[in-house]
Amino acid sequence: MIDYMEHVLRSFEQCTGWNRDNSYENVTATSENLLSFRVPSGVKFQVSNKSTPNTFTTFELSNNKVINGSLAYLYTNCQGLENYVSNSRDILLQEASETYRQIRPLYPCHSLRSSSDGAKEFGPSSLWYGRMYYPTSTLEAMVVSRSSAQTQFVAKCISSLANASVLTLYWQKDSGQNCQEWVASTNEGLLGYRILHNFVGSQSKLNTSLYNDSSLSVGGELWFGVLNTTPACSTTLRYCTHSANTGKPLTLTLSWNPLFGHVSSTYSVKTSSGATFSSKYDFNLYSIESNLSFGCDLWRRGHTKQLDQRRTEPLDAPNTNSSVFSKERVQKKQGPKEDSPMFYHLMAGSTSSQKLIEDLNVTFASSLQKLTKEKSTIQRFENSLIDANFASVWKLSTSLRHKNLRVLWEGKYKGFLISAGAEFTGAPLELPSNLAGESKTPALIRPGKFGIQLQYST
Amino acid sequence: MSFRFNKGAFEDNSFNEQIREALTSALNSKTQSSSQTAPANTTNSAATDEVKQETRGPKRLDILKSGISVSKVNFPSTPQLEILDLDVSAQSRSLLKGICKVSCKNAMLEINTEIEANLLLLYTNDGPSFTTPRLISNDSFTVPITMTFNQIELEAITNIFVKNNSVGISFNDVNLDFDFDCSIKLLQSSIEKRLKGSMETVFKEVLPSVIFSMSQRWFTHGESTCNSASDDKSAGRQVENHSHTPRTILEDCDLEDLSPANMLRLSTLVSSRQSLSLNPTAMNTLSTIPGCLERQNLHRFNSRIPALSNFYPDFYEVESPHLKAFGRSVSTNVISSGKLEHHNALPQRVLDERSYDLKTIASVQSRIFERSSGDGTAIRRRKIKMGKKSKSKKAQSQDIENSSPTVVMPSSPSLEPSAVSTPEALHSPQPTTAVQSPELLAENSESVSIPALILPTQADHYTLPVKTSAPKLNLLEEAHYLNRKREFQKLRTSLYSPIRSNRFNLNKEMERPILEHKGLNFVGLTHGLNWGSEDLPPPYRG
Repeated sequence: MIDYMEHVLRSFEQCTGWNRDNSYENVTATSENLLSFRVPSGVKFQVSNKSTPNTFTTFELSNNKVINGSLAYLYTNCQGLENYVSNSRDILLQEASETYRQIRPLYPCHSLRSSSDGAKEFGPSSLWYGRMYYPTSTLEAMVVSRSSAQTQFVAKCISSLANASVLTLYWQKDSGQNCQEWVASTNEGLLGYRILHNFVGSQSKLNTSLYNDSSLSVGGELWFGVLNTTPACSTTLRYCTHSANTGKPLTLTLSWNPLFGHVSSTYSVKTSSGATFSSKYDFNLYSIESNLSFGCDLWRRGHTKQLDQRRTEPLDAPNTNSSVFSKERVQKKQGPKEDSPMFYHLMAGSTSSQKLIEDLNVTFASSLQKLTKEKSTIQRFENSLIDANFASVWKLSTSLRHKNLRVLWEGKYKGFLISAGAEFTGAPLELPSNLAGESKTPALIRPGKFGIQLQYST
Repeated sequence: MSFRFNKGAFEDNSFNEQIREALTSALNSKTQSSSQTAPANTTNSAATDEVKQETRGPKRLDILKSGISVSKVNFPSTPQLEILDLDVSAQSRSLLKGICKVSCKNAMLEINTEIEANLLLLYTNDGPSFTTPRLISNDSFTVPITMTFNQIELEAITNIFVKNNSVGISFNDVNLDFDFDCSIKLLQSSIEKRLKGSMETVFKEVLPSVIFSMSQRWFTHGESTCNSASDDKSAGRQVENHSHTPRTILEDCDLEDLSPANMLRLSTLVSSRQSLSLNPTAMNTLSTIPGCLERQNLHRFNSRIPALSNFYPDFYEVESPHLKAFGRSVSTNVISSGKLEHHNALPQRVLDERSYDLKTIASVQSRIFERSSGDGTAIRRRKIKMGKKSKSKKAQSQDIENSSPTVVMPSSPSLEPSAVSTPEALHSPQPTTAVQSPELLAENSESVSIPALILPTQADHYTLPVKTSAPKLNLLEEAHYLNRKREFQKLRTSLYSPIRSNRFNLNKEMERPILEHKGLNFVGLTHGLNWGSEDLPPPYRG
């Protein structure tokens, strides 16, 4: 379950036109959400409030052996944020829960258009956030500043009595095609650079489908801890597409860490509007250790009456804002050019496209029919996702090497967002992995961690 | 006291096994305590619970992924312990202070463990998740690492303090050399550099504290040895718990370890103490009990002090006729006749009879100078030539210059061989081995030499003057220590303060004097050992 403050932050990014999925940090977000979701521990209760259109507060109590609390304030000068932030009664579950991230392909005209729109609409805005933990008196602070349409500056800091204070600075520049980030942290003097490059969507020769909605991204990161002189780097390839026949979205990633010889590949697919499956295979070239992880989401639909009501609502209703979906809606709202991004590759000036257009002219009728059919399949699927009113979701994930099973239930009940989960482990957690194999304990699966989290916001 | 290494323990493999087990347990006790604090957050590193993170205190990073095992230990040769100095009356509260040289050669040690390859993963997992940027594909693996220390050569000068219930050791001059071999060649140089850098703290802090706590366990006699694997805190607690229980430092088995020579000396002391007879066997020997100087033989001791008057004892006959008598009454006479002036000058008769030898006088003066100055500064003599034929008497060192008048010598020093031969042979310029404290000199100066110098024991000195005289003089030095009764009493009380216990009092009555004399002998013997073999005076100055 996404915290209220995180939800506000994402809404802020959405409102200012910042694409969260275009960062290398979130390149494997889909599989992370499905495989290593966070299981709450202990009891946690969170009350949030949008006191004014620009200020938000959260009070949190948690009981994890001792009772802790935290108080968070957030202020932003972003205009129109209140349309994106929704309370716990109205929020869509697929928006409040971390799940499959739908990646939109990049089209040049789309990026141009959006940037021109951004230049027209964009105003510098910023966000201040602070959270005080009790009784440890740890202060968490964050400043997010959008200085121009393509740049974002984030400063995060933790000041605590017990541990060392940490300040981390992010400088992000997203031009649509490339997203670069420079990161500096005082924790071990960590310096980092990461970049994600999106290939412009074009007609693939292998793809028989005319309606191309796939995107290919390559990214990399370089890290260096100055104080401990430890480097790290990785590179990742991500491919998102839709299944041609059924219109089901699927994502493949391949990550490689050349320094430590780690290769991990994930395959995530949304088989239906109510189910997502993901698998991940890790392999280390040096230690020849491997790991296979599975995860799935199972969504349960709620009442359809509410759904019908919501369909009749105007499109700029505040509760239609999953990052992808709301953008879709915003685009739809913006008018006649809504289809042009999809067909841009057919109208591009390249020779292949020219040829394609000629081919298209020959077999115009049948192809166009096929095109509309495929497109309608995908659109229909997406619409079903957007409009679905899910009541609860079960999440399961397991890992062969760690021999654990994690179960999480998230749902809405009378305006509360509830998330309850447990983690079962076969091997004791304290033992290192190489010892865990030796100790042939009877494979009694015992709960290592469990908890429940309640969230209410107005 | 004698230190003895049980050689058998080093020759068979038991010592190596003991070291291996002790090292393994010591190394793993630290890592276990640290790994308990470190959470296992490998599975959900992406999203650690923040509240949990806040409540947790500062924790240490744990690079080690498994325990440390010491696979091979080899000490092929016995470590050598050389006692450079031993001071018993160093401090009021310590029994013993000594300076030792420890040397160990050709040792070998091999350590196995597993380390985390990706250090950055540790740091990012350690940091708070709010400010730590997420790294993609930042996974890691464990690397088995084997570290071999070959050709370990240790040479250290240590200060040892033996206190009531513990042993404190401080390392002064440590020379440690080893060949380091690491299974990961990439890390070898950096690990070696760090090891050498941390050696100072090991020898300054770690080892002394370990030895201190270990010795505390030893002195409590194994009541906590069963828990030797437990960490130092519990051991310290146990020591506190047992601090009121009786402790025995010396036991019967310790007495069995004494050498027969020591036992003989002890028994001699005991018998002489019981019979109050100090010279049970021979009448004219200097001392039957080594380390004892009897008062009645003081004049004999004094007669061997280099002085001009001692060389011509025959000429003093008139002045001290009563000293020819021997026996018990003499000792009182010596005390009463302490007013007799001892002149470092030639008797008038000698000068009158011109029966002196210039070489003898020069040797005597040089020996006096050597004794008084102590260090090896060369003697500078002023030569005064008087006329053509007459030889000048050799000048003296500064402290005796006034006392020995320059004498105008005749041209031909023809001496009577019968009169001078005996003392010359006896006091021929030979390297002195004992050092005389100024008090002793003053004491000796009171006495007057006796004519009968040729004694059965001293007859040996003609043949082997150096070797035989050395231990004799040393024993006389011990006598000087015995005279310092006050310090000695203090020492004795401090020696046996820890064993003033019920357990000790239950022992047989007979062992008590033995124990005490063991202590006595221990004092004397150590000094005797120390000085007897040395030509130079012991480092006692300052």
